Amino acid sequence: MIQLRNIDKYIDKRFQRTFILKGIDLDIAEGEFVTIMGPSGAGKSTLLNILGFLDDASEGEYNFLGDPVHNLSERRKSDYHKSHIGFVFQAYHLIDELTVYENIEMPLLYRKVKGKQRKAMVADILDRFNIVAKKDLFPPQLSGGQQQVVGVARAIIGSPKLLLADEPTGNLHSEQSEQIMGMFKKLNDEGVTIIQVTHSDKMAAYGNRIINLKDGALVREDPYEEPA
Amino acid sequence: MSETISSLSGVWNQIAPKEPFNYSFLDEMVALQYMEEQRWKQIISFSSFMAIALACFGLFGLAALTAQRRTKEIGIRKVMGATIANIVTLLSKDFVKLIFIGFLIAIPVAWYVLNQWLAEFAYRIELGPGLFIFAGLTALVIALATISWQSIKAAVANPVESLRSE
Repeated sequence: MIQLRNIDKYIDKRFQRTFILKGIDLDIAEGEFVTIMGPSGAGKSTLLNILGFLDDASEGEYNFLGDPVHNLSERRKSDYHKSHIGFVFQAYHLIDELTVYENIEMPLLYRKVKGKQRKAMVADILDRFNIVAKKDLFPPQLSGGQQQVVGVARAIIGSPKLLLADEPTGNLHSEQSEQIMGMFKKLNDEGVTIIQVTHSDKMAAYGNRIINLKDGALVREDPYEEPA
Repeated sequence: MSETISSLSGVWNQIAPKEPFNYSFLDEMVALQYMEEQRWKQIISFSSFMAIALACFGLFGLAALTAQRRTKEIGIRKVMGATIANIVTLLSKDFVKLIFIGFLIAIPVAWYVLNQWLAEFAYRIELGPGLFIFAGLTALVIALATISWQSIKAAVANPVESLRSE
């Protein structure tokens, strides 16, 4: 599904070139649940942003479902982004001025889903995540865990093939974290490819593969497969 | 012209030699009548220009503030798939609403005052709806041009930057 070949990301500052990512080679198959781990500033979020088309790699090749992303036009990229990728953030990033219902509905508006179908889809998601009673509340009225549930609901309403989560449980206590990870696990079982960034080993254990990043480079793909 | 005047003056002196020969042209008389209107036109043009300029400064500031306050929201919407056009529309919508309200308030006042003024003239133009529509559209175009710079700037910004929370 995803192929990264020699991806570099750097910032040129006067005479100095600072690398954020260097020589990343990565293959992710459809249906995987990948965890990216590593110390702060290792470039985890940048990698996730590149995977999610939010940021462009400075060099290297990125193939998404067989299409070379590095050669796609902005418009095609935006279409792909809308239809195939969902995002969950550490800070939830819900819009405080909109109700839970409107927040979840938003991605559908930009995908030009018709009113009736939109209503049905939102109702379906609300039901599935047990937040029907909260639909008219505003995000600041919810607890962090509930906000993140809404965040996940919003990310998957367009039934994306790929779900990207940047420290989705970073602001949550363990019980809420488990709830969110349980939802991820279930989505993964339904066939959604998930890539998450986390600091917690416990959260990483929900996935089936761990990628370690250090100073912008991959360390080794899976420490669990190391010969003892 | 001067020949005609001198011959007229000769005839005048034959008829009324004790009276001075005073004359004026009709078009100059008519122009004199409208001189006050001309002056008013200048004053009103200048003050309208000042008023529009001041309003634009305010609008520009307001647009900048709105765009800044909504940076995060814009970032989220972009990540959720909003295009630049979507964002610019989102930011301009509120202003268009305000302009429309302003338009509705201005029309009856302008219509009343203009009618009062036009009533002073024996020959006058009709106040058609075209005039008001033109004025409204002009206001809309000027306002959108003022806020477009801020909105477009906010819309093209990279959402990764605006969502960085650490």
